[in-house]
Amino acid sequence: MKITGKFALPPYLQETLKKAIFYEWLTVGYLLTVIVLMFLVMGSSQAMKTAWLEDALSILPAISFLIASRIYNKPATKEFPYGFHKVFSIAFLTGSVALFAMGCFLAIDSAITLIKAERPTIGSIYVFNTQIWMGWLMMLTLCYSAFPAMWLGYKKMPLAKKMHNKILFTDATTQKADYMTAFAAIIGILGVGFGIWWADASAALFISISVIKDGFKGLKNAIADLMDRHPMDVKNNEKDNLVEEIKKLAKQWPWAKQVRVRFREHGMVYFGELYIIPMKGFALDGKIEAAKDELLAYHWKIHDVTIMVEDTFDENVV
Amino acid sequence: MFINISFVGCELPKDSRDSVLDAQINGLKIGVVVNPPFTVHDNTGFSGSEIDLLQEFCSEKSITYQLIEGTESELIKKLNKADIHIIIGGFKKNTIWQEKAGLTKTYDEEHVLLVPKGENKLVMELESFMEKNKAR
Repeated sequence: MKITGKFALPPYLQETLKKAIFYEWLTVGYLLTVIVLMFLVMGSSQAMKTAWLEDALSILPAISFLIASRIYNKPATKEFPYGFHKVFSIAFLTGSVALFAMGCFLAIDSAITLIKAERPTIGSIYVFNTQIWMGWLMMLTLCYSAFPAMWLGYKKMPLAKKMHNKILFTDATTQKADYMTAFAAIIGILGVGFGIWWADASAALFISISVIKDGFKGLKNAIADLMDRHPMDVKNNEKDNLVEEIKKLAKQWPWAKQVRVRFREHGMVYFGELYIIPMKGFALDGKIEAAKDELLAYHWKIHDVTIMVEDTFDENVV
Repeated sequence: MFINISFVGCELPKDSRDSVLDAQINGLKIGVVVNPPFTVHDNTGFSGSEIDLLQEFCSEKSITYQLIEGTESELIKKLNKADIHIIIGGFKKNTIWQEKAGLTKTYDEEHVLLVPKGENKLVMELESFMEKNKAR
């Protein structure tokens, strides 16, 4: 049996991965404090409950990344001849499913609260003999849940792009946008403060819709990746040019008359095939091996290539 | 902006149905579920620790009050229609009515007063009074 080769990120990316792991640990620690604080001040506010569950869920991508980063480069075995790269895709899928499902639950829950016209009761607390409305503490906690998260998002974003890591990218984008959730919840609670009873549930509904949107986007991408679609660029979600570059490169080989390529994503790296009709009269000995080495050296993302020599292309080869 | 927020801060929260304002104009309507020693109704009239508590609250705020006796479910219905402002009767903080009514914090580590949901100014006023009362 042929098993895929051992994978190592290029040295400059190993540094990036280390940094990403550090920031994800920081994220987990920080989110744990947010989850506890939010729970303590949540009270009967629907918007707070929604924002709290969203924050609790947002710890999932970080944990999935940390687990996956320990597994992805384990050497391939006879049982798993393609290696363990897809662990990132699986982590990405589970995170998205959780986000999507929770978004749906929260939207229904908030809609019911809104329809039943439930008015949130928010009491007070005494700090150093001063009465403070819990609403203010909620807003303060929401600020704490937003600003450090945004900073972490900004820090992780370029790392995710460099490493072509979708779960890290999703994590960073969601965190960067976290201020929207906090802002919506603050408006909701401020609304309650002004006696506008529907502000709270409306804010919650708005937040749940944004959770559904994030979850659905992730779900769509994760499923498509597992369905082995054309590799997509993490940055703009368009077809990755690298595949086209590989094709151009192969076309320059003097012995290659016609070239067709096909690649798929396995987490951060690509696996794929090249179908080549060789020029007549060229001796191929050693050429295939050299071509393969050239492709693997071309870009770190190209991890495993099979080169097939054909006489003609059938119609299915595009 | 900050000054603005702290200025508004003194005004917040407001009631969603203006219970405090209504109580100032028309008097505080108190629903009473008889449950000695918190609430007692005999031929001498109403008495009990929670009645005393609210009498003191009203005299401090210089507002009149009206006591309306009823069963728990009758009074909860009235509370939700905003016909009354408050229900007393020795309710504990884990009362079965917490879905249907707003709760103040405990005035003695165990017992709470029921108010209409969303009447956050009323809750603030009551809790501030309870805290001062504890200190006495």
